[in-house]
Amino acid sequence: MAEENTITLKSSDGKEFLISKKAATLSETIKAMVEEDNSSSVFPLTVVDSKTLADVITFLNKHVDCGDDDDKKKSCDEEFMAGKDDMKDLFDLVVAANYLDVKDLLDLICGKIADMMQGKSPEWVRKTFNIQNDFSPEEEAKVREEYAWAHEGVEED
Amino acid sequence: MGQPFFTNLPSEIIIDILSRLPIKAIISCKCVCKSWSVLLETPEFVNSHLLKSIPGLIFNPDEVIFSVFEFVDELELVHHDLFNNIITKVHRMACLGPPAAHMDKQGSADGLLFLREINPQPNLLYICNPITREYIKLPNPDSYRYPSVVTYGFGVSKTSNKYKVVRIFHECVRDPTSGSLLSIPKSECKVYTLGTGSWRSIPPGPGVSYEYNCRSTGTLFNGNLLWLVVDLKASIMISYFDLETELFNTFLPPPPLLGRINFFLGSLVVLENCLCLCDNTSDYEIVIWVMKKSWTKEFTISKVPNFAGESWEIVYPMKIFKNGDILMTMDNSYPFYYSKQSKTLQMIGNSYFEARLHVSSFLSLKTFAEENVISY
Repeated sequence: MAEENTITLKSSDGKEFLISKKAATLSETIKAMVEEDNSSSVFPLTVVDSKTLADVITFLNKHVDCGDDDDKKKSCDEEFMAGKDDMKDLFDLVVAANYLDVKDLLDLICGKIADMMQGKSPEWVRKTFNIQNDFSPEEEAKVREEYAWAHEGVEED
Repeated sequence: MGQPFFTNLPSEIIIDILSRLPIKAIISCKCVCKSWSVLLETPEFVNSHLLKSIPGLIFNPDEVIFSVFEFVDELELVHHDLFNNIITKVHRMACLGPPAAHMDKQGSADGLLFLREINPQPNLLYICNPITREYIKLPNPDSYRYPSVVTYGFGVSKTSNKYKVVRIFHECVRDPTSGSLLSIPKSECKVYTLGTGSWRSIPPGPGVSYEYNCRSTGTLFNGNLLWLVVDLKASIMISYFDLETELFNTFLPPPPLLGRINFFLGSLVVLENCLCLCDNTSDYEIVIWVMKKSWTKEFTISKVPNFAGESWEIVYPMKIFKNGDILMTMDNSYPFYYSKQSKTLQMIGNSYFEARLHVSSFLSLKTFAEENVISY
């Protein structure tokens, strides 16, 4: 039996994580779940896998420790993001942060992805994010032509 | 083909990510695929981008070119490339299409730039977005000549988000020898709401019984346009026009400036979301007052040694960087900055050009009905 101030979150692949209610409810989605059903202590999160959930929990715990100290939050966030440059991990986190409704985390990861895209060519963006170029050559030329002035000095790779 | 990362995201998240990018990177993203090119044209994207954008600079290195600049580093600009070589470090370059002859930038709101052709009469007026490369020519208001005075302002109203050009016209009677104002027998205000195609007259309020400086333009703050004016007793006042209610009102300048008129060199600017009054009348210091609950003297900047001497120009502070440096412009014509570290004023380069704060946006003028939008 878990203590009253902790709950268990269960990932999509069945792993269980113990987390303080205070940290967990930084997620608006979990907060709503807990408010709706305060007799349960285990909450299944069917769209978040264990690797991502572990990351999210690290983030939530750090933010609870920081309280309202924005400077502390900032350095915690930097620590949290250090070495996070695998695209799949980042996008898993975005999807999780969006589903769990954790605004600070969503903000952080969206900012990181945007940083990685700066100064990159459309080709780089397509290749990196596996986006199909569905323009016909004529259509693409037309789009490029529309903003021809902006396409100078962009990294090709 | 690997995991289609973006395809799995809801469009509001894609917008959230892409709207954080600098202008050129966003334009580059328009070429990635069809769905992005559509997404980046939606009002949701345009608004999301506007909410996140930080004002940059727009300046004229010469008469026909407008260069648009984004700040890359909010933290400190002393060590920023901008200070070493502002011209070649321009990030956004756009040639303005209209037949430009002494175009003066008279206002900027949400990426739209209000331009006035100064020399010919009647003045030609334009609204332009240098990023979407569109402009419209406003219908001609009437001609006027000295000693009458015309002042403009451009801004966006707070709740209904209407973009409006405000034109104040004064027929002035002056003392033939001293040039001082004797009376204002005729005064009118006209408003042009973008998308309506015509000027409307606004009933004169208290705001039109003051004299507006023909060189000043309305400062946009919180849905109001503000001007430093003088009343017939030659006392300084601040007149403001609420772009939503279209009513004029006035309030007092900082107490030490009350009643002062002779050779007063003041400007109204917005710094860090606060209304400020910058006084460059003194030969030795620039004083910046900030409107908090009341006027507070926030900065007193010594002009010694580089800028000391008889004061001629109005100073417009533009931006305070996180390290305390303040970017300013002299009569909208050459930029300089206050270095907090050395406590001195420094020139930026040595060229003469007019700079103004300007947010870059993708707000298309085609959004406004009844306007003949010209793309270039």
